[in-house]
Parts: sequence; structure tokens; C-alpha cells
Amino acid sequence: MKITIQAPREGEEEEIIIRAGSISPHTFALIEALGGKSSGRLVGYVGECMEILQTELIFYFEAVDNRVFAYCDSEVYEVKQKLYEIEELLCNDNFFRASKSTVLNISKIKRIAPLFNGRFEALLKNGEKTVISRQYVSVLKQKLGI
Amino acid sequence: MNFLKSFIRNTAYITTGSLLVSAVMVTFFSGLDSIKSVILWQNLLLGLICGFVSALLFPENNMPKLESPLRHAVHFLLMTAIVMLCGYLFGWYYLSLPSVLLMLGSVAVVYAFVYFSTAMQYRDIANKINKELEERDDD
Repeated sequence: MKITIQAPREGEEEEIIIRAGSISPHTFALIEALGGKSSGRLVGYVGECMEILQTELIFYFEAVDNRVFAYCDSEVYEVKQKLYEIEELLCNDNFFRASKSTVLNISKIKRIAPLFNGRFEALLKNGEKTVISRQYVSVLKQKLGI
Repeated sequence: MNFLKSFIRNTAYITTGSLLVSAVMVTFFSGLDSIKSVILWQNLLLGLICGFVSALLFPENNMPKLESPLRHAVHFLLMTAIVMLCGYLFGWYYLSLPSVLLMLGSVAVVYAFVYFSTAMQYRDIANKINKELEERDDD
């Protein structure tokens, strides 16, 4: 692997660009070491393939049988982080804990409707529906500034 | 903590509904000019029991969506059974058909009161959130 270090021009921010056809485990480890997760991006796995996920394209994360999946418009990726780690990682973005097993992207919610006993059903922009538990409605309200 | 909040909220709604129905029953059906103060404690006790059972039956989390209608049916039957039992022990009605029917009607009225009060509260929350979501989308 060729490593090039260039001094930025005056006034320019320091930047690291990785030029790679696909992300190998070594490259991924390097991204993680450089704080790649904190840049608001996560790595999603589909079989053996890895892809850096753009969080703004993710509708929600769901924990199923101790595995966590990121649901985009039509693609589903497995992520290695636990749900609570994703919640912490993306707490400053549009994401919030919607139930014990889901973390939801507010910008992907079309509208919500009340269900029985304080729970709400969120209709997402891709037509999917997911439940917001009563205890997390206050988190959503807080995020929306209500 | 969530259980406690749920318990307090349910107790408040049920006690209010129960007091309203008691007031109507005493005023229009009992033929009495005054009531004993114990009826207020009986209402509160009934509210506490029903509030506790409701909080148990509707936990904050882990309530599968498909179970909701069945859970509500069970909840209504349980509430009816508790009120009928307590009402009988408190001497609120007699074992005659008109008296039992009146009591069952009262349970239905209180249940409907609590159900629609909470439904309106949640609809209001949903409207506020939807308005905010729409404004965000417009931006």
C-alpha cells in the first residue's frame, strides 16, 4: 500500500483520504483507529462485503437475536456495534431510541399515530411501520424541541 | 420508575372516572340526600387496585403490537370483575338484575371515560410531533 503525506495549503483543514476499491479488514481497522466511527459513519456488512454507511440514509437500527441490523431504503446491513453503542454514537444526530430493540432516524419518520396505552406507531418514508414505546416518546419530543 | 408512573397515571384516571359515576349514581339513583365519607375511600381504594392491575397488564415496553386488542379485552374483563367484586363488598349494589345491570353500565362508562381521556391525550401528543416533523421536512 502506498502512503502519501501532503502538507495542506494554508487555511485548509487536515484531511485523510483513503483510496481503496473495497474496504479490507485492515483498512477498516485503520478507519476505526483514526476515529472513523465518530465521524458519524458506521460499517455495514452484507455477507463478506463491507460498506461504510451514510447514517443519513439509514431508516432505523434493529436488534434481532443479539445481532444489530441497519435498515436503509431497500438494503439491510449488519453492524457490529451494540444498539446502545449506536444510540450513544448517533445521539447528536437525528437518531433516538424508539424501543428496547430499535433506534430510529427522526428524519425518516413521515408521521406518527397513537396506539394503545401510550405507544405510538411511526410510519416511515419508505412505507414501513415501527413502534415507539411510551417511555421513549419523551425522548422524541425532547429531540424535536417540544 | 416507569411502572410507578404508569400506576399513578392509571389510578388518577380511574379514580376520577369512578368518582364521577359515584356522584351521578348517588344523585340520581340512590335517593339519598347525603353519603358517608367512606365512599370516597372506597373509590380511592378501587382506583388503586385497578391502577395497579392496569400498570401490570400494560408495561411500558416489550408489549407485542398484535397482542394489544386481546390485552384490552382481558383488561376490560379484569376491571369489570374487580369493580363488581369491590362494589359488592362495599355494598354499592344488590344482587338483583336491575342493580347489577346498572353497576355493569357504570363500569362501561368509567372504562370509556378513561379510554377516551387517554386517547385524546395521546392524539394531542401525536399532532404536536407530526406538526414538528412537517416543519422539519419543509425546512
